[in-house]
Amino acid sequence: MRDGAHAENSLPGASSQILKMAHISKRYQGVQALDNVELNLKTGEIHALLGGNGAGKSTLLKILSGLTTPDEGSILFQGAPVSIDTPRIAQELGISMIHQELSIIPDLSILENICLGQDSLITQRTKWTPWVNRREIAKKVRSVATEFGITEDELWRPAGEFGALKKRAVEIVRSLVVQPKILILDEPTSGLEEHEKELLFEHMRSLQRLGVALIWVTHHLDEVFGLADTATIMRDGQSVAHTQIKGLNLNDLISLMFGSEAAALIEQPGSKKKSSNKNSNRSKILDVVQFKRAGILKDISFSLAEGEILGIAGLAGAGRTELVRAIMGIDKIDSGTVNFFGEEKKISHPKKAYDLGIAMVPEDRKVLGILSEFSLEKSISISKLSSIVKSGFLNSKNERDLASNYIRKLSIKTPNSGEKIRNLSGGNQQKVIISRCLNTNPKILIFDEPTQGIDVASKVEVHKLIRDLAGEGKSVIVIASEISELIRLSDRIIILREGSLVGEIEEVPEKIELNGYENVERDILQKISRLKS
Amino acid sequence: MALNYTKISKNTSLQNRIVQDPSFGIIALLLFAIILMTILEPSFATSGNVTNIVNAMMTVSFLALGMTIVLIAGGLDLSVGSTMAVTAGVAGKFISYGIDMKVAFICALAIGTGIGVINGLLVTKLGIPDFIATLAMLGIGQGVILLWTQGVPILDYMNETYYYIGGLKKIVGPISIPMIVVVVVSIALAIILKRTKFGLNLYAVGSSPFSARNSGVNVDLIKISAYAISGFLAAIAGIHIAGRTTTIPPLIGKGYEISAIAAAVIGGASLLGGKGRVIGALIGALTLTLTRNIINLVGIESSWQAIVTGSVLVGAVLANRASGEFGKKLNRRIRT
Amino acid sequence: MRNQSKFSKFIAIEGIVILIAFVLMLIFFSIQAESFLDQDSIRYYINEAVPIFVITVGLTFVIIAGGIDLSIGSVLGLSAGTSLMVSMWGWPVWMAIIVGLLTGLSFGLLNAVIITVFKVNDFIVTLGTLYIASGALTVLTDNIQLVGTQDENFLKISDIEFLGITSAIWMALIIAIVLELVLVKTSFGRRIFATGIGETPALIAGISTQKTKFGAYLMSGGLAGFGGVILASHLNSVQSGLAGGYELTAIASAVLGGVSLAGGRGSVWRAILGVLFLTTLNQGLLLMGIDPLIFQIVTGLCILVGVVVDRGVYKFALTRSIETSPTVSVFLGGKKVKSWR
Repeated sequence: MRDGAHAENSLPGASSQILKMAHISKRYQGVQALDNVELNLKTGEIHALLGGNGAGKSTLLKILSGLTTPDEGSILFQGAPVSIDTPRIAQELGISMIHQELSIIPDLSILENICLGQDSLITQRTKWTPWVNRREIAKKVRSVATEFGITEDELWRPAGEFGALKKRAVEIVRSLVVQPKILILDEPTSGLEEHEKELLFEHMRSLQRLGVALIWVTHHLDEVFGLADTATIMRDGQSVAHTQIKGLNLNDLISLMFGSEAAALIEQPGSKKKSSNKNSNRSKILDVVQFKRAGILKDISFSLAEGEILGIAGLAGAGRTELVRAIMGIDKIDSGTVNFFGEEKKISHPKKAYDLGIAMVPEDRKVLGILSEFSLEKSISISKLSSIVKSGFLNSKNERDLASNYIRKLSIKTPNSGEKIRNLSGGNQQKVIISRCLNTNPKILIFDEPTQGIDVASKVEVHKLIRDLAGEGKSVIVIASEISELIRLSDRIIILREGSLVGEIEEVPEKIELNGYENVERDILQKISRLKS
Repeated sequence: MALNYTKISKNTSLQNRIVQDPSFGIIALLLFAIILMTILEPSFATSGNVTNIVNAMMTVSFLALGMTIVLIAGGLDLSVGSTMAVTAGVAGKFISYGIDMKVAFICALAIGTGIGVINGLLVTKLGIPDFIATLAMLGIGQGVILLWTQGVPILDYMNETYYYIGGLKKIVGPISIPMIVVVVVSIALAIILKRTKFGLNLYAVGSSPFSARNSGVNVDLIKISAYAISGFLAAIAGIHIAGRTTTIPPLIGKGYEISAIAAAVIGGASLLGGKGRVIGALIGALTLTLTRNIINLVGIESSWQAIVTGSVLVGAVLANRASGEFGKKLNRRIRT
Repeated sequence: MRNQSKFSKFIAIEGIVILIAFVLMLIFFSIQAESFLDQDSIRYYINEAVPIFVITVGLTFVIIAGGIDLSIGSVLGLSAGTSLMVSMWGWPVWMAIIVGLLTGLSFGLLNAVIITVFKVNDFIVTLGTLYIASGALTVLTDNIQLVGTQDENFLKISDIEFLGITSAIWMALIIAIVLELVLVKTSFGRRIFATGIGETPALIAGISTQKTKFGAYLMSGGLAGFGGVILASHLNSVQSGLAGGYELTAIASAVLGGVSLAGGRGSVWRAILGVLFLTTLNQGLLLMGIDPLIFQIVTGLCILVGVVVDRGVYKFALTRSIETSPTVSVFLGGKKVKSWR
């Protein structure tokens, strides 16, 4: 183990094997989390680690970064067997990890964030010095920081002022301080916008040039192409494939990850059924008039017709979520009115919105969506408790019937209706939240990032559900960061940038395969990202 | 853009910096109160009263400094008053048993620090919510001192040296030993917060424990240390108050936790962690002591003290909240 | 293996641990202290505990809604003072009850407004009002000797016997049963749970979280007022510092009963079981001849042990549920750090 730690990298840049994990198994409380898993990694390659939720990726990464130990199996690091029992050993070996959740502390400056927890950077001469000399540290990290787009001045400003991309860059710079041989990136693009992703991928290529081996975990399979060299694909705690990325396509990857049925499901191109009465005179149901909120929403007006799916495109921070939150009455606005069926309404609280017939499926399901302690039954009835009240009291039979009704209708997978919602998978949780909204009998449904963090098969189901709802005459507003998803779903798209409405796409192509799709995508991309002149 | 920003912040004039200081409002209020009292109340600006104020302020200062450290680390320590009582009891009782004063003080400091470490362990290792763990510790400490003294005040420990330590006798002019200790402790803490790795980690842990852990900071250790510092300072306060009051009633520490929190919050520490300053704690302690002193001088019955302390605390958090909202609004205005 | 899973199911039943501990304690004390099972002594100490019963029920609502109310003890003391005072002035008994209730409600209202309207940290606010209420009682008792009302009816509030049980205990029982029903079977109760699980997700689900919390604090204040009336009627004398520290006992009871301080979990009957546990423990120790001053230490330790055991059992229940659905391991792996705030 010690030998491994001090072994010099004898062949820099060459494709030497740096890591070999073999026959790794791990059980948690009777559940086989990992079963005979293999992972091989070469110096300077970008290796994608792919798999659905619960496939065992995070357990494998935990073993690699010393947070847990495997029950069986061996790890060879630069040819020598090692046992990574603690995070410190991993660090000494040169294995760093950038977590999915940003580990940036907003109150501290970027410089302080970089040196936080990095003893080797703070320590000047003696190992145990307690002092922090910020100027000296700045000198040390300046060149690396500049390479990843952090200017000298930015080093001294609080990290909270910056966006997700800059924060990722800070994390990368921090991880480089210890000169890692292997860098693990867990969903590094989460929270990044399309154009920022490109910059991050550039950063990843720079890391590759530095000879760092990257293990890259991602849910977005399309990102893998053109960037990753090799991939390990996991399913149900097993590593089902080790492959070169070159020569594969998206469907190959999907069928490897989820089995062949899922791929077939996704391939169905005709699944987009545009609401048939597209250009007929549909009645207006909602009018948003001149929404203003200082610094966030600038005079936004739009309308929504019955049975229409309206997409909202824009970068994070462009005001998409803030706009729908304002409609729901979650955030206060400075001025602006809402007309509902031509009548002016004041929505000061989400409760009022639900009462009127507007319901929302929020973004960030784990934090904003589910009430984790509630059972599935309680989760469904909560937004309209009156629906289960019988002579003044909540009636448990009514509640159970209500739940089983939605379990059947939306085919929610659960052992029983009393199961706690936090025990369900992401896709099923999302379906429960949709049921909760449907129970309020809404005329308008707002979906904010409805497929965030759920596996591909559930994604397809949620898309179908949204289309069916529109087919039943309900109006839908959808926010999605993935433009292709937005185009696939919406009848009409409005585009926000920096709090203003900057464009509208009336004619969204019917299918991705059709002509015009790329033009529309380019159009949206241009509009959402163009900087102010 | 970026360049402009730093230039502006570097070139801010002294005047601007004073006005923008987070404690500016409270300092202005204090000055106003002092000037008003000097004019209206002849007994206020006398040397006797000033000594009184300063001496009474010492006890709260120690506790408020400790509380500020814990608050910065994102914790809360309700046990400080009770810890102070226990350590005062240890110091007093040990001396009255005939144990050497230095040994008694070392024991008191060790026990105070020990209670802090236990608090820290309860919060970090057993995962008990900070306020519940330290509330329980408050009850336990109070129970221990009651049981030990059987409710009878501790007497017979005062000696010549202790009058100096209690600040009842001065060493040079108006300067007393507790004043020197407060200054030394404050400077030491200020250096720790501003210039050391530990200080940096304290803010990091309080601001976002999850991110700090992800960055490789030993969150538990930092938190435990913060509670230990608070316990240590409570012990200093205990040693000091035993000398100042010359007897130790078992419930001597009751209500001091609320003064400490109020002082720290008035000084700009946030209950959400990651914020707080040494100078703020001192200003907060002064505010509280001055308020009480003014109440006494104006002739309001002393039984009103608890009401006033409670109101000052609620007022301070309300004002903190209001100024925070105001700052946010101001920021938004400026940005747009 | 099979036995183990049965055992784990058993231990995960909410409230089972405290129930077992309670029964064991009863057995222990009946062996150790002869007079422990004496009917009069049982009736006596349960009667003494009624005010704590009442405030613990109110506190349970506040804690489940994700808040905390430290002021209840002092408010109870102050309400006892005000109601006894007006009774001594010769006001009729119903007016005395109303004055006591109003005292409690006004503090509940103060807490509720500052916490839900101005959004100030609940813990600090109620710590402040704790001192304000206890200070007010000190001022009151400094000026008036609060001993001995002439009104027999006032004394009867807590002391009418019915079926061998005093009216104080009957009232405590009724309050507990009614409010348990409110918590479990009404929309208000369901909103209390939702608010405590997560204020923001509950708001997004269309719940008026602030109104819900407002109601909880108001109720807690009102119950403290009512507890004060019972206590004043029972003691017929009020001194400064009365009921100080009751909040500690109430929190300890709730925690022992498995009411989670993080909000969203708990029930009235389990909190009541917590009160019974603590008062019985106190009584048992007393009968065994142990210094009553130790009780504060015991309460403190009980809080600590209660929280640790509750967390342990909760985690146990969580890991058990993993076996039914493997996806959870991902959640646990994330090890979300949730503080009580």
